[in-house]
Amino acid sequence: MNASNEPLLDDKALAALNKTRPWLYFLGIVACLGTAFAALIILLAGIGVTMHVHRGPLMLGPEAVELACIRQRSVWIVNAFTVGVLALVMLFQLLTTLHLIR
Amino acid sequence: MQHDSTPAAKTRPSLSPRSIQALAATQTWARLAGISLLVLACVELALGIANLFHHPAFPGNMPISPRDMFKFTALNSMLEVAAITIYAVTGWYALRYARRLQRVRQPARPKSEDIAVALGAQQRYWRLQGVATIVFIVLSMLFVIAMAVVGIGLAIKH
Repeated sequence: MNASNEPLLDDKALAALNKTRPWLYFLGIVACLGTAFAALIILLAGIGVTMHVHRGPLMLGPEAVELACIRQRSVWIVNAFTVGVLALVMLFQLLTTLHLIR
Repeated sequence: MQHDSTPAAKTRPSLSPRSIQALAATQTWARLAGISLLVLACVELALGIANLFHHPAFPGNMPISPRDMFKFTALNSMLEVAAITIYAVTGWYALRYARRLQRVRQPARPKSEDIAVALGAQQRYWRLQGVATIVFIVLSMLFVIAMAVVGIGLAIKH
């Protein structure tokens, strides 16, 4: 299944991938409920589907792993963008509050 | 790079160069998210201090007893501390994930252990986000229930 120069996904890595999946599903559902995070749900649900349920490492195909890795990048882009915008909004709120105090 | 040549290892999935590249590409975004979260924590702290002197919810002409004001300030401060802690810890987790991806990035030749460590850090970040969201939802629901009970109580009294 693996080429000789490619690193193997050991049990620890597979367990980490599996344990991430329910949290991404949960956050995806919550994000869906909040319309502000509508874009995030598609990506989180997408990566959740990619990290398919499996009991053993045999059931996780190389294509699924590759797709999960590619989609993770999209999740992190949306996550960083969302948090960045939130930080800017809060910064604006702080400046407004400071202006009101003066 | 050493490879496990046992039969069990041969059945394990591996990470193709494309997968490794995609995984490593999340580093910049994880770092940006982490820095943004730490900035959020700092802004929240500054806002909390600023709100001690002026709170937009209570204009100067609004009649409010010093006791109620103290209660409100104490509750508000607790919420601010909780928010600052969550922002700071999640920011640190995101930065830790980004740091661990350093071994996965080119030109480094990542080992299975490096990938496991990076994926583990990512899992902990999302778990923390999930737990924080659960806590937020539960507290919001409790707040709504408390407000409803207080509202009903006031309506019955008057």
